[in-house]
Amino acid sequence: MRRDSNRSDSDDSDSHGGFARRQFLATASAGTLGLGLAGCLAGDDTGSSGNGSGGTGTDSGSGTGNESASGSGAGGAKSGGTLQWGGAVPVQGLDPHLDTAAASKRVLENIVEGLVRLQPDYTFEPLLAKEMTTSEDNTKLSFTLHEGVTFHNGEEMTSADVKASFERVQGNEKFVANGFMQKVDSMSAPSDYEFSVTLTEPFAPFIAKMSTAELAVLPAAEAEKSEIKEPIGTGPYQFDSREIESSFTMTKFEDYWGADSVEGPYIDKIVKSEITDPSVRLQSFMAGEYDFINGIPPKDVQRVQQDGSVRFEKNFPKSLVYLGLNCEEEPFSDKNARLALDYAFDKAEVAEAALYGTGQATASPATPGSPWVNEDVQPRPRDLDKAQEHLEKAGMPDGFSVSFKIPQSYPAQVQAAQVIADQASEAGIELNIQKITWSSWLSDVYSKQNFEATTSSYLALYYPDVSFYKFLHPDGAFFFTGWTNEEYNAKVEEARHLYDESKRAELYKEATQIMHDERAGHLLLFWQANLYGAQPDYKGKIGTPDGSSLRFNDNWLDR
Amino acid sequence: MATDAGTETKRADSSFRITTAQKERYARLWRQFRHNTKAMVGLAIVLTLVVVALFAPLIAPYSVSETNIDARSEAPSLQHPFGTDELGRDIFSRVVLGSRISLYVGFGSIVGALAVGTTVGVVSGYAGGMVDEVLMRVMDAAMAFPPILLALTVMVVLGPNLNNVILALAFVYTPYIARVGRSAALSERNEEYVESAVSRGESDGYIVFKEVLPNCMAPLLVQASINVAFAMLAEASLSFLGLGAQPPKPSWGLMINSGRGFMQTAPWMIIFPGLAIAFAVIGFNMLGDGLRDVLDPKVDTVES
Repeated sequence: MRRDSNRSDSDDSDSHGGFARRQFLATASAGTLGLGLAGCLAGDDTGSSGNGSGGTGTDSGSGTGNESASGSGAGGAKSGGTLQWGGAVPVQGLDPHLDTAAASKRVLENIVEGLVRLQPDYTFEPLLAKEMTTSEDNTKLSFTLHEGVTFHNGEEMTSADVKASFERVQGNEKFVANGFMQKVDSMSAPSDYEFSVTLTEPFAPFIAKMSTAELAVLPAAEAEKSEIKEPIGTGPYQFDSREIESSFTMTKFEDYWGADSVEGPYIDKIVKSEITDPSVRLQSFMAGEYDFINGIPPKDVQRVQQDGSVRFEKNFPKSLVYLGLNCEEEPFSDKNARLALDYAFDKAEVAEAALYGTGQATASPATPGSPWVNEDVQPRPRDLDKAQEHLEKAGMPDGFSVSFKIPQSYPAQVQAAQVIADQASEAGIELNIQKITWSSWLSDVYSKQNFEATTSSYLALYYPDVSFYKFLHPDGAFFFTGWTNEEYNAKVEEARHLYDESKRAELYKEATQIMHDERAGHLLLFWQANLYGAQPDYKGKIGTPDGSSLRFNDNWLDR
Repeated sequence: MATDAGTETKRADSSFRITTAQKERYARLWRQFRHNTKAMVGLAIVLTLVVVALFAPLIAPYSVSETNIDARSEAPSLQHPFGTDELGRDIFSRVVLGSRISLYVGFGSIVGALAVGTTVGVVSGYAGGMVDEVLMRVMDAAMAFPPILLALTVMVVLGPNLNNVILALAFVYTPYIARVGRSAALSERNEEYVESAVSRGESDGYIVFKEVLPNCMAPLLVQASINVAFAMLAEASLSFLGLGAQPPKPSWGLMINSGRGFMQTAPWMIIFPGLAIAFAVIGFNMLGDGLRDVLDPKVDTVES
């Protein structure tokens, strides 16, 4: 499995990003649109990142060989056909509120929908809601729902379903968005098509969360279930069947409510075959066995691009790979030990080794091109003298030796790790690579914090609260390196409550400086892209604004 | 060596002095061995491997872990006779150093298996009765699992590293050695020299280890040399699966694993480590076969 793909699931994906002031304006009647969240967040204008059309920012230089989207135009779109998808990472759980695996989200986000949806420019637009307004003080969000939206089971969606879905998440800690729901003071559904949420305080990330499957709208009866095995939603595709670790099938939902207003769905049936081995997957694809594959290994990009008979698409950035250091145990509890390692290797070379020019080294967790990036903070250059200096300050002039746990299913990380270990050994730091499975990464490294150094990745960081809070703040949902800094915490906490983009950006830039100076337990390595291949008769945009998931509704097969 | 001539040689001299009869016997065996092409070729290969492994750091022109991204996946050239891998490391150096890992695990695990397996087998064969039943049923149970599966299971429990591979493989091959040791001991225990030792009033322990065991060595050696080949293959397999040697160690199996994705663009990344494995395994197999020809005339596969 390839790194990207995999990583994707590794990264627990989350978050979606900015809200779009202008979209809201368009629909929202409310004057205040306090939802200012919108404007603020939005990485929008920068739009740098790839949006679906495959085009996308290639800072990395490797040309993205895609002419953006072979016309998805409704014009020539044909209905019908079966899409054979060679998938990189097997679909995991199918409960939209419960599952964090990116591989699951890739299919689930075609099956279930939320009240709002992320747009290519990182703004948010109402989806199941027709419009959305906010109160003066930004704490009450009111939605008017579309009428005539039907679930796959034939029932009409009403505000009762929305309320039941949100209450489900609120009622049990096991659900991913449960922490967000703790910010909810009350919810009400005054009529069938009206729904409102009152927050305890202004809370910028809430709307972003509503765009994800983690707060998707399910039928009220389904929301009663403790765990959903066969998801029912309002999306363009409905769950058909799956064989665990083998295949997943979804079919076109004929009564899709959005069919009048948006394109598609066109394709009758989407069959995802789980082909975890990247070489096998690519070979089968090149031989014409699949219409579409995700997770092309970076090393093969050149070959695919040179082969004129297939489409190559790149979605950048998809995820951020980092080197995690356990700040609660020797030796990395000492900031100087962390700095010594930071100075011991060349980030650009590591990125090149792992990604063959399809990615970019970084020192900031904010998505490249977003307003949150602090351009003054750059990766530390390799400097063995400084590394030695910090080793001496840490009281270990002869260096040290630690284990380095690498999830083996991510070749990019395995390659990066070997370059890092090689370079660090010249500084006297021995990183002993131990390849582990993803499940032992989750249990040992993440849950039990039984590690010294490791690598992993995060998805979908265009929404800054994820980049800065989720894994760097002690209360964050994915906090595991044990690095804490009061000053940093204060800044990212404050940013959550602000709706003004420039003020937020200021705070995030300062926070970036702090984590860099203090050498947070996350030593950031590089951004990587999602790399797709498609047969020429597979038309439409591939990829979504979050860099990881897929939307098939406007895709079609020209055959 | 329980073969033909002089039953007196069968009686291991308790002081291990080499008698004239033994000298003659060894000389004869060596003569047979020398004339056995298979054995000699096998021996030559194994010796080559051992020499390469011993002097590996002198032979290898580059470091095995030093990466050089500018020179990644380069085809074989004068500078890099076997090419370079995905991180620009010299494959020739890695294959050369890899011989150490292969031999270390191959010999290490078989020494372990011999130590335990021989004891269990010979005791079992000599003692017979309940002891035999219990020990051999345990061995049968262990043999019921396919070797590589059993090794995988042990590795998952122990965690991936080279010394654990040795433990796992020693565990896996113990029953095979034990079976051979037992059958040899079974036939030896009815020999006259055992009877005479018993009548001298020697202890069981003395008889088993000083009298019977030395006479069981021939079949055990044959079995061991063949199992070394299996163990080397198994190490490569485990490393290939990520449960053996950890990067950047130049294990041949691991090299094939990381080169697998480059089969079309840089085939040298798997060809050379693959050839190295084949070379080593053939060497030990031929040596084992040759030894059997010489030591066990009953299955003489050479002349007449």
